[in-house]
Amino acid sequence: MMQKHNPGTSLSEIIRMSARPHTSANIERDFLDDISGYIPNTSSIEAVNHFSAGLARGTALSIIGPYGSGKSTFGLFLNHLAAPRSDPGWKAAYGLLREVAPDAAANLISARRRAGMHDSGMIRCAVTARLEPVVTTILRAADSGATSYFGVSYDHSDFEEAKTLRRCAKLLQNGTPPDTATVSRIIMSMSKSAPVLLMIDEFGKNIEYFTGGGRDGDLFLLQELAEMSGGPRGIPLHLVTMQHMALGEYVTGGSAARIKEWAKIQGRFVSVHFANSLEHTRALLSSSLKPRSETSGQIIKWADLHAREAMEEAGVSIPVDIVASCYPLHPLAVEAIPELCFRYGQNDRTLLSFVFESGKGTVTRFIENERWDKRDTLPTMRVDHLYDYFISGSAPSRVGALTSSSRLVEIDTIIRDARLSDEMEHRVLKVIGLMNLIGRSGLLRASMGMIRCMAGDGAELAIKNLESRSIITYRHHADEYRVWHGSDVNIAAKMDVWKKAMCRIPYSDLMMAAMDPEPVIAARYGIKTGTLRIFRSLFDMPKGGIGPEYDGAVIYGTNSTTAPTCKRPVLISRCNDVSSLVDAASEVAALRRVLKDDDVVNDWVAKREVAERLAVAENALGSEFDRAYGSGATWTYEMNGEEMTVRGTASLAASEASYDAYPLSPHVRNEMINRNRLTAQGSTALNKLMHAMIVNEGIERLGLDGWKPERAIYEAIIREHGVYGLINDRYRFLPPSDHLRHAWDAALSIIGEPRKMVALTEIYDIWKMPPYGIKDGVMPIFVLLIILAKRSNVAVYEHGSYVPRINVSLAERLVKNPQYFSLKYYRTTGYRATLITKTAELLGTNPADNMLGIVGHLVRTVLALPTYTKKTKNLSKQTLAVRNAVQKAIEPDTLLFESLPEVLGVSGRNMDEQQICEFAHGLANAIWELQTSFNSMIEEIKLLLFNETNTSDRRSLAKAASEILSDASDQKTKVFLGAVSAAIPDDKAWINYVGLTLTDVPPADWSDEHREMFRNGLKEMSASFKRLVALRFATLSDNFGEPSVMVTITHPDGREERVILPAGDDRISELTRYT
Amino acid sequence: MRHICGISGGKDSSALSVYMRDKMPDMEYFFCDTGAELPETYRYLAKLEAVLGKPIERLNSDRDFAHYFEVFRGTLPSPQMRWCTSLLKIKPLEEWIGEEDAVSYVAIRADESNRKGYVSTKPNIKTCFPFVDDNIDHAGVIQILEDAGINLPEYYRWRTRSGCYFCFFQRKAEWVGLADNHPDLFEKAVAIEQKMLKDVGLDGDASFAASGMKGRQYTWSDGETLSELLARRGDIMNRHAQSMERAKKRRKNLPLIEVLSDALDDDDETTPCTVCHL
Repeated sequence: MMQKHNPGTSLSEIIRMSARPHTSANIERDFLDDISGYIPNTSSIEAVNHFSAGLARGTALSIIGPYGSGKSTFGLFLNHLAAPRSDPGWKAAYGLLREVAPDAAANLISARRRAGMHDSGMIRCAVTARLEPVVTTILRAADSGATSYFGVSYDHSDFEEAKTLRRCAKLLQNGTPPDTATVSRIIMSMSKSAPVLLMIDEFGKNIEYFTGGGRDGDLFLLQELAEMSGGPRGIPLHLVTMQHMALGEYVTGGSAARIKEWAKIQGRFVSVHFANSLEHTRALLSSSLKPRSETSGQIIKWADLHAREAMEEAGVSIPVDIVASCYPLHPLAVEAIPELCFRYGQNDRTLLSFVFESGKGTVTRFIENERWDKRDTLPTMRVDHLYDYFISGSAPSRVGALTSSSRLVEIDTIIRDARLSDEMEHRVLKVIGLMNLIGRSGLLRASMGMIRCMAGDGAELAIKNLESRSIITYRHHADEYRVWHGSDVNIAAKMDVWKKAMCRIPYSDLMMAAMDPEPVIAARYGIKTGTLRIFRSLFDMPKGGIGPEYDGAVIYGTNSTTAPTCKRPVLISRCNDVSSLVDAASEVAALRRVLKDDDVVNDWVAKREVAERLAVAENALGSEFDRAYGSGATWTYEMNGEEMTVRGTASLAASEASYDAYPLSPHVRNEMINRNRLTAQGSTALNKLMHAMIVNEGIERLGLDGWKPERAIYEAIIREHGVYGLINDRYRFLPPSDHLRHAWDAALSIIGEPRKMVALTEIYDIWKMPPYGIKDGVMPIFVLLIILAKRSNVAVYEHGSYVPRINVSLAERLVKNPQYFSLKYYRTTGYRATLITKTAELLGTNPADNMLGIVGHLVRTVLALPTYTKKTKNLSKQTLAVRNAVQKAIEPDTLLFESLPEVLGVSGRNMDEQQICEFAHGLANAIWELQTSFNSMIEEIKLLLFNETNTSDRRSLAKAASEILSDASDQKTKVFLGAVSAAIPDDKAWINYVGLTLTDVPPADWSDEHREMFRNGLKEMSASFKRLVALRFATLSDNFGEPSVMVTITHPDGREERVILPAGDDRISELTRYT
Repeated sequence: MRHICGISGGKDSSALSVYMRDKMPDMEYFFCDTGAELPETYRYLAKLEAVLGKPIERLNSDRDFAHYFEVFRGTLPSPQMRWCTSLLKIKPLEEWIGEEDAVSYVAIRADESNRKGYVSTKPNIKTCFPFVDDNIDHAGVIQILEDAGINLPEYYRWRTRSGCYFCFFQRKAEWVGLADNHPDLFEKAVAIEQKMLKDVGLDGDASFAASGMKGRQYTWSDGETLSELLARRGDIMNRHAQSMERAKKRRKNLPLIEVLSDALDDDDETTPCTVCHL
């Protein structure tokens, strides 16, 4: 934009700027500096009044204020006010005080006199605290005060502890902190010579040290000193601390005991808050801007105009003389300054820079650049000028202004992006932006009147234009224009609290809260072996270990990280300097907490800002983390007592450690199964494969055709390891001969111990650990392989009971609940082997069967018997004993080698061939008797049935029954006849039904009592049967009208027919000849 | 074409099987065994097999309720998650039928033709209702069973439905009936409610309390545990007696079984699953 030529007078000729007042940033360093130009504000006057009031007996004063609010400068001022009357510093300070607050100055003089120190002054111990125990700070203060008051050698008769102080100061130089009692004694001793002013700037650092875990006793000294200085008999000690926050806020997040402790100390102090006030700003401006007297009339006119305008347009009432005293600043711009200094600057420090520096947007620059033509009104420094300085200009770095930084950036971006060519629109936008940034909902809001007043003529049109382009919006409820959707959440304050809290949590917890890094995959190892090894990422070893799902752990440690004891590999990288990592982590962790804060959650603007900051902070943390533990890191791990070292990424180190830790791990190249947690598809495939292993043994490839997942798993495990192949022309499961053998042997070696039942989980636990590291998904297949390949030797127990048959449902349960399964290994040698061979031969079972095969056969045979056979006592003594032994058996070997030989009368430690033969025959006979017992009983009752009914076979009985069925009136008889005549093809089934009708229990379920009941019932029923047959015959006879005879003809094929003939029929006499 | 007839252990399906014995000699009878039926049911099935003269195919012989309870690590079925019906009844049945065309004979009586039974969605299964076709009602069913010599299952004295002893559709009075008639089974049901299988092997009980339903307390009967229910036995049975009275008054000259059924319907409104109870 072209510079507008203005030929008038430069404002600098009209206004003279006074010298910049002195400010102090470090009370210790600026101890004796000149303070000319200092303008005591209301807070400093209040603090001086407190100081004066306590001068006779001692005071404890706490000055609280943000950065740049003039605390240190006040300290310097107070330091001079405590000087001897002859000191030029005293004179200057007193003069400044008297000018602003004559009453306070008079009070101070009298108080100094009453305290008897007006002439000699106080021992002024001023110090700036560091992150150190307060006792150290006070000792440094005492040393400095004593040097300044007594001289370098502290020579003074009243100062008894001079030597002590010298000694302590020397020790401190060598790093040995003093004890509290000694320092207390030194201060007390000093106060005997003269009143002591003990002034600690940056006192917050002492408190941070204390709450952060510093020595507990520290603050007792402060309490002690504060107590000594109070009350009528108190020593003349004046404690003044200066810090940013109220004392209580420093301990937020500390332990309850420390908070309580601190509350006691806090209570001893009177607090004075330093803050920028409008009054102070006006005082500073009016004392800094000195217009020439000849322009005063013009200025008053200017002031009158603006004061009226402010009243009319914005409803703000400002006396004309005050408006005039701040010329050339617009009165409403002045109103905005304190808030701007607080939010976007460093308070007083910024205010002074704004007035006295010559950068863009400053008052000095304005005065130098602006020219005035006497015919015009005086130039005005408006709010948009403030914008130029505070927002896009050269305001001092905005310490503590993070709350607003993103709002500021947002507004500034909008204003820049708007690219407005119209000067008024640009000005209006800046005014609105600035008002929005101040965010005061009271008078200083961007209302139409306020904007008009601040921006001048033409504002209204500019507003309209801006609104039509949606650069600004009008909020009816608040009667203000906005260039952004603002938020009033004080994010910086919240961050401050949380970051402080983060400083107090241990490194590992902080890092975990900030990062929780993903587990590390041993990628190179995985590619080579097919097994995915996952290492848990940690910053310290947790109490519960690394967790069963991980193959190892990676610890991102510090110099103090110690190697934990762990069965699985633990890699440690020890970073020398984690300070920047910790800073980055604190930022992330704090932001995460702030993001969950209710205020933030309910304010989308704040939420977005925090989320954005979090994303940036996470990136930064990632970079720091990579720097600390990235490809340049060195990793150590222990292997067989030896420390191994790898340099590179965590993944590379994890691969190396995996090779070392899991050398005997079987290779399984199938990701779906070779993992700890199976997917639904993986589980289904596992079940299908196990199903095929059980059901399709003997078939090539277990009958798995096609390329479904179960086939892929079959290929990766069963075919790859050669555990299923042709033996004697039949496919069978076989023990492995490749590297799967290690894990296989490990399992067999545990279950191979004599008579020991081994929980499946015990095997799993061994397999999971180095040197095997087998994954959960694969283990059930390996176990089933062992069970099937070693079925003659390995017995399976579920819930502690022997399982005689491995079926698919058992496998499903085994996968889900291995904790309920156990295995036991049986070996048969010597005579037992002969016994097994002989028994298998006589029982007709598989000759290859071992003890478990035979016992399985016996158990299954007994289980399959009809209930009748399981209960009846109608068996030979030996068979009965064999049946009972099998039914009661718990352990297979006990049954075959102890119980059964005993009941068969051939027991002994060693059986010879003869005994074995006897045993095998005895057992085979008993089993045969059991298997045939029910059929014999059925045959028996069938015969009984025919006998009792005088029939020869089922057909004739059924025929007779069907003929008389309709004649039966009794329900029981009807049912019996119905059963007898039922069209049930199978004879055994038919007799079962008939048996049921007489006992209400089918013969298959009979006890011996039912059998008796049947006999008795049949007797009764056959009587009825015969009666009905007779009745039927009688009825038929009657139909002939003469005596008749019933002839039953039995054909050679068994068919029977009954014929009724008249008694006189010749054929009858013929037939009777053959009877 | 296969002809199949499902038996639930209740009177209607049992009567249908007897009714069809001579009419359809090739009929295949099946029973979806949950492994947790009442002993009366198993006894009744044995009798029925004798009457039919052929075995009733037991589906799920390997995978009963206890199996799934273990596989699901203590997750219990409920009206909202009726895995028992789908896994112990429908799935094994559909597997057993396979893809072959079949006619399924369903025991809906002539006097309840608005009732719904399990009708397969599989296209290869056709359904027919012989009792409806032949106008056989409740009295007819009773007559068939009497003539066959097996009468009603014994549990009808205290319970109107077949099914698992711990069926969650049981009415409160039926739970009391279970406690009275089968204290051992009641005790087992209490244990299952606490996600424990009693006496599963030599090791004794197997608890799934830690894994089952994430530790949530489940109750078979709505709103109370079985122990709490049994503690209220007096109240429940008084209410039940009143219901019986009302039912008797409402419908006179009815056999006891019908009164009991009516009274229990009065006790609560839950609708049991027809697959198990038809």
